[in-house]
Amino acid sequence: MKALCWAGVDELRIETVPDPQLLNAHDAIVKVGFSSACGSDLHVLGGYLPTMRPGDVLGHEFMGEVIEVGSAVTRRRVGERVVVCSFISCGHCWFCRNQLFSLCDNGNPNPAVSESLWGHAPGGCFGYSHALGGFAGSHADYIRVPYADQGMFPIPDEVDDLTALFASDAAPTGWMGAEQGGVRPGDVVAVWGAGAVGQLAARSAALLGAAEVIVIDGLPERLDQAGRLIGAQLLDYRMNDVSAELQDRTGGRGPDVCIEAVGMVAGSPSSLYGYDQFKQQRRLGTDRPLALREAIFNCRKGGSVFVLGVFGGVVDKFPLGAIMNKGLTLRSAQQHGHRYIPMLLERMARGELQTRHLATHVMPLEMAPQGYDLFKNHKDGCVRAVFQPGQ
Amino acid sequence: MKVLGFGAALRSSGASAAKALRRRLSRHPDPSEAFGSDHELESEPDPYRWQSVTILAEARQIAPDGRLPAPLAELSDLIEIRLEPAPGGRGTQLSARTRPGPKPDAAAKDTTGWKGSDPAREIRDALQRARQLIETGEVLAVEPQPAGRRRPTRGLLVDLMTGDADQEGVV
Repeated sequence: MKALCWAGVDELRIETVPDPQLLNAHDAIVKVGFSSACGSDLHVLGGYLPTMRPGDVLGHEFMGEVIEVGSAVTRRRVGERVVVCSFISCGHCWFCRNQLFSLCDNGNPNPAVSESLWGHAPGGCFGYSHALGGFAGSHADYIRVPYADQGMFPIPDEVDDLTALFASDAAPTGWMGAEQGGVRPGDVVAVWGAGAVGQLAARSAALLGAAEVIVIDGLPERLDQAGRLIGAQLLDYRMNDVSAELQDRTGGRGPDVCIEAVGMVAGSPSSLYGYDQFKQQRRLGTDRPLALREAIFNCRKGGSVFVLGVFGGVVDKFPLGAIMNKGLTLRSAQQHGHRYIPMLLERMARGELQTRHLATHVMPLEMAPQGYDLFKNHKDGCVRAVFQPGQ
Repeated sequence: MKVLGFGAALRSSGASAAKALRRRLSRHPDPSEAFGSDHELESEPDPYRWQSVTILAEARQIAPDGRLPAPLAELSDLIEIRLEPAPGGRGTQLSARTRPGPKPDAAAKDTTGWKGSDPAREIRDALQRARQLIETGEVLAVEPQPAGRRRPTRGLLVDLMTGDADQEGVV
């Protein structure tokens, strides 16, 4: 089959690779319908998470059709149209039973790599380096899904493929940020990042009752979508002093909940950007936490900050004093999608959660390297490049 | 057979290189600084250190009638096992360590009966596989799987890390 493989830092290739096989009784094989590029792919693509091997198949956000199931799969069947959670969880360990699915004890067969980096291993993730299990990704004609009964969700008839695609990762990630960030009716919520996850965090905050949602970004096409299709207020950091604007718009309080949906490769016009980038490029630091610093600094006293953007290593100039002295709650997680996907699919079916617009560039899998170029470099208004194998 | 032998040799040399790398790193202060560790890296871990996993199951499910799960049963002549309830309904703490010998350290240095040269890693691996078997009914496999052209020189470090990755921390 064809697959998009990581070939080295900033090198991608379409290659012919072996078809996946059922390796465990709880596995299924899915024929990929759509598979999306994700902002977190840029971390592995750029070598910021240095646990990729040349030849690894990328991609973790996908939907498709079940074409084969293992002998122990009981709830899913061949022919079903499914969306698959990007994180791999067993459904049986203490973490899964407590709905902390991305922390599954059994979903990551390479725990030592991430134990060495982070103390303990999170669960596995498709196509996201050997720190998260080394599983082949979804930018391919077919993919093996471990623990298939647990990780595959049937798509309601009312939901089209492109809409359902984002129930795999971006929508549950966004929902988790708003819900676990503690959004309550009447809150003012600020979201850093108007990519897919940021937009869906903003929409989730509104659905949870936020009185006002402000989305901060510097890309006009993304801000336009966040305003027109998500209903958020907009704040363009290229033309505004973010702190002053947030103070103005909240009567001097600051947002009640601040959601960071940018991650380790944040950009900014501030001088700290140059500092962070210098350190990152010389491997003196691993992550650029510009948006996170801003979120912490601007959050109201006693407020909540949720880190949705992916970070991989260590940061400096981290405003711990602001967290302590303002009594902030700081939370974070990789997405616990299994907890939210059925509910999100229902909301999609009712038209409460729109995602199709995020797929600004849909193309055959063979064009995936060009798709990543559009996505990474924000060319042609690209919000998400989505690949369609077999086209 | 030749291919297998070559593969095994590669694997062995990979493991040796990983160990050498670990030894170098353990003498070098940078890793602890980079990862923010407050404690000193130990050069020689205790050969009889207990290693543990917590399993969401009762002790009688883990070792019914004293029968250990298969990955640990394979090592039963070489290890000691401890089962304790985990607090707060978290299941059972399953621990294992190399069975102490009649002379201090003698058993830990004797690798007779072990698959490789590092009993602690084999114990860690067996504990993790035992947890998977009991909680999910299977040991999750990852290979063989689709992959494009591997280039060993560009993925050597990751190969070394993941070669040991189902066992315990590598740096």
